[in-house]
Amino acid sequence: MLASTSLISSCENSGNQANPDLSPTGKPTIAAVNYPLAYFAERLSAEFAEVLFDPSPGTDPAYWEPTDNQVSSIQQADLILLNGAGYARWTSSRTIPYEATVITSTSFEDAFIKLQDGIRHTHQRGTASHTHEGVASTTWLDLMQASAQASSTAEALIEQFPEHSDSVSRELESLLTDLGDLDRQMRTTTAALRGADLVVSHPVYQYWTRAYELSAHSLHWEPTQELGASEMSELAATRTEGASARYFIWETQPSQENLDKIKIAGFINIVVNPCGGRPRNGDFLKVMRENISSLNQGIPQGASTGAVEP
Amino acid sequence: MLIPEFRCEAGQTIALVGPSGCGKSTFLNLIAGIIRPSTGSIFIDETDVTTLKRSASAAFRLSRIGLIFQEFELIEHLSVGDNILLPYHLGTDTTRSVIEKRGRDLASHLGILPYWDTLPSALSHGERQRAAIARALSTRPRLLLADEPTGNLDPENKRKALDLMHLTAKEHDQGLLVVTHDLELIDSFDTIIHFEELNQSGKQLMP
Amino acid sequence: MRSSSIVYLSWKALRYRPLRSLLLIGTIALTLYFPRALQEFINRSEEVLSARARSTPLLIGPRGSSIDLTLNALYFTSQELPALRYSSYEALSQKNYGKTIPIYSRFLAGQSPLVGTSLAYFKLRGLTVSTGRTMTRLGDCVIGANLAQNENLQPGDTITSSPENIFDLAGVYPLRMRITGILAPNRTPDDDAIFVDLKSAWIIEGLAHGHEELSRSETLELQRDSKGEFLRANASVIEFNEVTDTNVGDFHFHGDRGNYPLSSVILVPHNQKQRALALAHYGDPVTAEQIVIPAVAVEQLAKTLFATQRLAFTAFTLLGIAALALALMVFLLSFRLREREMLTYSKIGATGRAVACLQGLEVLVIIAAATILAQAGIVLTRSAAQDIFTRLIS
Repeated sequence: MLASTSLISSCENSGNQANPDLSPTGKPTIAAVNYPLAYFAERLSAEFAEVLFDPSPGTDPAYWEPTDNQVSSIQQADLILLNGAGYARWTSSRTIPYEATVITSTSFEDAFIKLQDGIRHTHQRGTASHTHEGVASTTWLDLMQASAQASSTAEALIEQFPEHSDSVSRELESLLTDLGDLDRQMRTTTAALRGADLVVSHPVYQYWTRAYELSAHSLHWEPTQELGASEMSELAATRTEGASARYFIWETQPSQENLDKIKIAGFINIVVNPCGGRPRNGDFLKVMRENISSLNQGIPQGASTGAVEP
Repeated sequence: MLIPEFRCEAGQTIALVGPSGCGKSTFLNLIAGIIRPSTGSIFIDETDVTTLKRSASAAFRLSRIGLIFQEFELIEHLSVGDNILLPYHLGTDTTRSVIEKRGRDLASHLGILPYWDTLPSALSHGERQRAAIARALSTRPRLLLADEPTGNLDPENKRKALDLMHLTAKEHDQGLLVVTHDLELIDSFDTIIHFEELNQSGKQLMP
Repeated sequence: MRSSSIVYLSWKALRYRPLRSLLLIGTIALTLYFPRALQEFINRSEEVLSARARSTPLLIGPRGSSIDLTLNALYFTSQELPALRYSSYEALSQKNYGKTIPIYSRFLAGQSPLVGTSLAYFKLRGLTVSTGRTMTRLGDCVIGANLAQNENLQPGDTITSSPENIFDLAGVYPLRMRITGILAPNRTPDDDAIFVDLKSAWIIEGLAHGHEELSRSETLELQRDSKGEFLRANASVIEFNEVTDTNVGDFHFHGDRGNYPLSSVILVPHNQKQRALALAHYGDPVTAEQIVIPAVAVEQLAKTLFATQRLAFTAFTLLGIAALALALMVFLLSFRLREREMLTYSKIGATGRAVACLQGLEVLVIIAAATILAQAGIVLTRSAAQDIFTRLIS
């Protein structure tokens, strides 16, 4: 668990503290809205700061609703790392200090993927109609974008804590190397998926499919939901004739029953965990490696149809 | 006014009579040193009051001369007691306790002790007159000068006040010079002087 | 004559005519008080104005009267200038000249100004929350100490924004706000204000709202407009005028946020160089915004204000002279009335000096009492000047 749990209670009376920006350990605090950013911050500032990331494992930080106490703790942070791309809607309905926030995806905001699933509506006769359009927000599944977000985090840390610029730069180099390695591995592994029927259980893989030149059909299925006849026909409708293989990507490990049903439908089950929330075991790199490993295991040997990037 | 000679011995009581405006009050003021003669001398004991400077004359008057005025001249914002103690407040040598003891005895004798803490405005004319008498006697002056001191008193209080003045004059060897035109009372004085006979100028000071 | 006796007799004389004594004390006290109090008030007001202006290093806002802009940002007076676009705030933030604090001071709740800002405002003004905590979500507000005391408000109570126009047909509902904290008093307009997150001010503006999930078919009607067919949320879609734990997630903003309004932005430059750069950038008449040094704007205002007040000062001085002459006449008349009394003292044996002392002491006591009274008034004025001035200007 993070130190944040103890922070919540201790920050309730933060108005009386000598320096409210410091955690109980006396270290500055960096809050992050999702686990990848929390991980980057932990790697980059391990020597001097504490990272506040409240959503517990199993919670999707994108839809997390913080309590007032949790918001109060976040308000005390020296730096608040936002993902951008509309991620974590709570940030627009809660009061967070504008000057302490850093949107880590600004450098590639022009490359955001627009979603067109909003319903156009109006609230009163005569007022303008509108849709709640948005952009895809799981930016870090494109590991190069993740690298950009890590760099953005490092820049913000150096600006806020210039005295630690050396260690942040050093850690960034190592982090970027790790992310670069992962990107290469992911690119190599996913090459086999090009041209295959790819169905994803949730619309969170937009940047992943774009980055690794994949084409996927997106559903809104939960790994644990019971798959009935309608779901199976929905899946069947995604099949294209002449596909070299059919893969079904789950966010987390689904039930055995669902695995079996998908398998019977002719799809290969693969888990690619977006890792938005803190994993129960390991860290961001481990989860990404597990994703690559899961892909490697799922893709039959010699199934590669696309060109493998060097 | 021209007074060739006038003497008042210690313990002597003199009644000065004369018609209104003949200069009796002016004569008292001359003796008291309140106004100065153009020529001549006024001795009280060994002191020629006409040679004293103003402040010395005031100090002399305060300790040696008791004055009873025709209009009482009580200070309206001071109680009867404070009026009687006024010579002490104005700086006479006698201590406050002595003056106060004498004042209370005099007030008691004159029947005004119950009004010790009362303002003069609440008193009758007679009571105010008696308060003024008590004030003048409280310092045991060498010379008591009184201008119509019984003018506002009823016969009984008139007699009482006059007796008291005579008594203190004899007892303390004081000179007592009283201006009056109350012919009923003048019998009790050692000497009766017609001011017109005393004044050789032949002029009346006031019409 | 004993000095104790002089004091005693004078005291008796003063007490005997209390009305005369009090009238004299009052007249002289007022004569001494008015010009000095006015001077104090002006000085203190100038200090207060300058102090708040000095603690606001730079102000960026729409072009127009720099005094209006400054007063709106510092004293939350009504917004006379057009709104500043949020994109200007974002552009300013990106330039990284320093810390930027947005101010949107347009709305009221009752008579109290409602200020949309960020948490950094509290730090800038040294404001601390004495009870409760700062706002944590949309619809939360933190209120000033005076407001809390006057209206007997506590954290947990609510306060509702006032509609700008009761015939507001645009459907902008008043926002019922949750009070999360009471600020410690700091004897500035902040004590009477209501602070909300800038985003909450935009809800009042009608730029954000909450509604139920629109996928519920019974709340949708098919309609057509020039852009084609669309679904209209019918009356059963609830428009919230209060943010609650359950609906907070439903609140959303419409339109381009860059066009959202602000009154001004307080800029706290990182250093002298950034300050100079900011001044140079916004000093260019080509920019849509103006940059104001509040201390300079306030100095201009002070000059105008205090020129008018100099007239009042002159009037008070003349009045004072007249009153003093009156007091002198009352003294002289009083001496005349007491001439006989003084003569009695003289006849009994008071020296001329003692009589002078008696009269002098009375005058002295009256003047001293009047001076003390005037001084007390001046001290009170000095301490109250800040509050009075703040109320007058707000």
